[in-house]
Amino acid sequence: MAQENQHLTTEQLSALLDGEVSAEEKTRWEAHLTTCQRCQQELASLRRTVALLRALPQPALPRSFELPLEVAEPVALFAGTRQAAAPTPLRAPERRRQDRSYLRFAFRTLSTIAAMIGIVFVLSAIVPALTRGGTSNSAASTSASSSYGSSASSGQVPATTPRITHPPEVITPSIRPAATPAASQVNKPAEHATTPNANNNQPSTGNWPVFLFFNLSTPEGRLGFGILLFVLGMMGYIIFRRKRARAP
Amino acid sequence: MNKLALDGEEELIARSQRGEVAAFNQLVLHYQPIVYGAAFRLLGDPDTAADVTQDAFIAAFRGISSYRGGSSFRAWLLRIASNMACDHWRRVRRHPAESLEFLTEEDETPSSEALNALADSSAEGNPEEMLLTQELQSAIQQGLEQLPLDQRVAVVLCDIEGLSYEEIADSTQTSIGTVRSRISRGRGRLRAYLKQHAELLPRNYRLT
Repeated sequence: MAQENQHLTTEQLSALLDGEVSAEEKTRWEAHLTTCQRCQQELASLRRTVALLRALPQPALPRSFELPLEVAEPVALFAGTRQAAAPTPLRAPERRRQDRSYLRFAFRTLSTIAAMIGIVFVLSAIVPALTRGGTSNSAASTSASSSYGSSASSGQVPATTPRITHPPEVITPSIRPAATPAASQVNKPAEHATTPNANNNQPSTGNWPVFLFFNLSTPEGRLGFGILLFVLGMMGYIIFRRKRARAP
Repeated sequence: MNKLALDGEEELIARSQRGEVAAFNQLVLHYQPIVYGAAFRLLGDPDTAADVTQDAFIAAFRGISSYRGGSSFRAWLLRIASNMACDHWRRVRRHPAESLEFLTEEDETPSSEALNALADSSAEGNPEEMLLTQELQSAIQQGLEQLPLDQRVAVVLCDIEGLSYEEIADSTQTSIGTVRSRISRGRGRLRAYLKQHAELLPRNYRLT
C-alpha cells in the first residue's frame, strides 16, 4: 500500500517502458501509474524521447564496407603462428584451386579408365572373331559394329555367330530365335545364352547381364558397350583436359 | 528487415570461419547499415563512423572464429563496433570541454529555419513513423553526443539498434542492473536536452 503511493523513479519507468521488469514489479508499478498523473506524464515524456530516437533514420552509407579479398592475410596472422603468415595468406583460395585441379585430375583419370575399358570390350568382341574368322575379319567387325543395339537386322546376326569361339552348334540355336524380332533381341538372348554358356569353358561371358541396352554376353553387345565407353571416356578426357589448359 | 537474421547466416558464418572472405562479405552487405548506423550515432561524424565501421568489420573477420553463436550475430557485431567507437572517442575527443562549447554554440542557433521545416512535418500521427526534420535529427544527435559515453552506448544499442538489456550487458561487460540505470539516465538527460529544443519538436509533442 505504501509503495503504491510512492512515485516511480525514472529508472523504474524507463525499464517499464522496455518491459525489462519482473511480472511482480510490472503489476505493482502499473497499479501506481493508474492513480498517479505525475508518473504518467513522466512515462509519456520518456516514451516520446525513445520514440524520437527510434524515428531517427538510418544514415546513408557513404560506401560499402566489404573486405578486399587480400584481407585473408591478417587472418593468418591472427590465427597464431606469425612466422607462417607469409605462406598462409594464399591458403584459402589456393586450396580451393587445388581441390578443383584434383577433381579435374580425377575426372580425367576416370575418363581414361573408361576409354581403356571400352577398348578392352571392343577387343574382347573382335579378337575372338579375328582369331577364328581369318580373312573375313573386317567384314565381321563392321557387321558386328553396326548390329549392336536394337537397330540390328535379323540377317546380320547369323552371319556373325559362326565366328564366335563358342561351338556353333551350341550357340546358334540360342541366338536365332531371338534374332528374328528386332525388339526382343536385347532381352531374350540373355535368358537363353546362360544355359549353353554354362556348359562350355567361357565363364567370363556366361553370367553377364544386359547392361544399358547392351547384352554383354554377345560380342555385338560387348562391342557396342565398348565403343560407347570409349567414346564417353575420350569425351571426358578432352573436356577435362581443355578446362585444365584454360586455368593454368 | 535489418533486425532479422540473414537467411543462411549460419552457413555464411561457418564459411567465414574457414577464411572465406566472399562469404563474410555477404554478411557485411547485410549488416553494414546497422553497424555504420550505430557508429554514426555514437560518434556523430560520417567519416569517423566509416573508418570505425571498416575497422570493426576487419576485426570481426579476424576474430570470427571466436564467435560461438551464443548471442545473435548482430549483437556480436555491434559489440565490436561500439567498443571500437568508444576507443576512438576516448582517443580523439579527450577534452569534454570542447564538445560542451560546441553544444552551447548549437543552442544559440536561430530556429526560424527549424520552425519553417516543422510546419510541413507530418508528425502528429504515430510518433514511431514520424518524419524528423533535419534540424531535429541533428538536435537529437547533439543530445546523444553530450551523453557520457557509457550512457550513450546503452541508449544507442537499446533505442536505436533494439538490443535487449541482456545483450547490451553482454556487449558492454556489465550487469543488467547497470544497463538499466545507464539507459534511464541517458534517456533522462536526452529528454532534458531536447526540452531546450522544444521548438524543433513536433507540435503537441512536449517532453514536459
